[in-house]
Amino acid sequence: MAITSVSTSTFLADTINLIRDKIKNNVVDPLVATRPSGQRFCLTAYPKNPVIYPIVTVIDRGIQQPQRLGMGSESTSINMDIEIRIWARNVAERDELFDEVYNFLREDQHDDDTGLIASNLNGFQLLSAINVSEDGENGIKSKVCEYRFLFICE
Amino acid sequence: MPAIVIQGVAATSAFLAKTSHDILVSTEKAITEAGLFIKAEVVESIAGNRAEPKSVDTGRFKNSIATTKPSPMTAKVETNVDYADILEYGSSSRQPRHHFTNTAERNQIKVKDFVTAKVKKAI
Repeated sequence: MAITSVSTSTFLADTINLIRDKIKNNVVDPLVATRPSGQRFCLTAYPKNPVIYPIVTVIDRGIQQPQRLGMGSESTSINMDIEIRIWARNVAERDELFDEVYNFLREDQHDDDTGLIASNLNGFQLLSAINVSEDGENGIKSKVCEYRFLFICE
Repeated sequence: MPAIVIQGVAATSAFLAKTSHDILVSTEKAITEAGLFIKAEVVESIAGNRAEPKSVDTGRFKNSIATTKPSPMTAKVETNVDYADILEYGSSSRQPRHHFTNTAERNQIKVKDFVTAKVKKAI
């Protein structure tokens, strides 16, 4: 079932699945025509079996609760750090995919019906983007990007 | 003609200058100590004494962890080992171990409280 907004009872799983679906549906897979069936472009865990690159992984990297929303309130504000990692065959492909993912998320924030804010994910921030390159010409080039979203738990 | 005389201006000003100096010195000391504490925690994490898997084979990575002070109010815990980013973030054939990021997450509040306590003591 496609997730259309993040709800309090399942906020972490909803966030991961929502972002995965957004990337899957809006970022162009460079292998769209040739990727074998059963091989996915966007995953919610690091691959354990052989995969065909490029891929994008979306995983959670921790949650903080910076504040409660009032002494008499059960509501809290939650910061969710989400790692979106681009795994590509070369540096150019990695950077193009990063640009595409970042710009899509940035521009999707204020979309009236289906944007990040309409889906209850506020305060979009890119915290860091670190390159991790494996040795050799054929080594996988990846970019580990940490994004932060603010969610109101009520 | 009535007049208001304010006494002790020089003493107050000297007291404030001394206190602000003491706060700066204490903060700097606290940041140095916090850096050393985080370094020790990263080493413990690499040695397998925290939640992360052990990353010791020859001990080169564990022994490379160092604290530096790029500026008086900053402490940096770092390594110069070239395979550190693969251990930290993982690769296509290796799961990430997050020794640095997890240590930072685990100790964020501890470090903040430690520095705050040192500053309060100086006041």
